Amino acid sequence: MELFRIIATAVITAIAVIIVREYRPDFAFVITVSGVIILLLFSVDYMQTAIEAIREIAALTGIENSFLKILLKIIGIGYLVEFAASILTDFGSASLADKVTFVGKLVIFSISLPIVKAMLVLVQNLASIVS
Amino acid sequence: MEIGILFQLAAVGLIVTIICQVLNKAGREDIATVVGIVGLVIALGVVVSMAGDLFEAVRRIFELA
Repeated sequence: MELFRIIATAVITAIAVIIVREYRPDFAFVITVSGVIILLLFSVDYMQTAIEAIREIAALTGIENSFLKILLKIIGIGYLVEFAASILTDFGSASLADKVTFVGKLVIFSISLPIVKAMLVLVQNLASIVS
Repeated sequence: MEIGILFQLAAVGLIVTIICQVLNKAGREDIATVVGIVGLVIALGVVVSMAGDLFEAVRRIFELA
C-alpha cells in the first residue's frame, strides 16, 4: 500500500538524519531535503487525479476555462511556495522563508486580478440593469 | 527505488566521514577538507536533480508558465 511506503520513507529519513547528524551536520540537511522531495514526489500522482476530477466537474458546471486555469495556477504557486518555505525553514533561515511566502502571496494576488476585474464588471452591469 | 536514494545519501555521508577521519589521522587535513566538499557537492547534485523533477511535475500538472 502506498501509504505505508510514505510512512516508511518518513521514518527512514528521520533515522538516517539522526545517524548522519553526529558526524556531518551539513549532510543531515541534504538528507532531510531529499526525504521531503521524495515524499512530495509520492503525492504527485494523487494530485494529478484530483486535478483531473476538478477539471471534469468544472467542465460540467460551464465555468469559463480561463478562470479555472487561474485557479489551478494559484494552487500550484501556493504548493511551490510552501515547499520552498519549508526547505528554507529546515535550513534555519526562517526570515528568508517568510519573504518567499510574502512574495508568493503578492504573485497570487497579481494573478487573480483578472477575476476581481471580471467580478467588478459584473457588478457594474447588474447596477446598470437595476437603475 | 526512490527510497534507495536516501540510503545512498546516508552511505555517502558516512563514507566521506570515514575518509576524512583517516586523512586527518594521516595528517592530510587539506585533502580531507576537499573530500568533504566533494562529497557534499555530489549529494547536493542528486538532491537538486530530484527537486528539478518535482518542480517539472508541478509545472506540468498546474500548467504554470
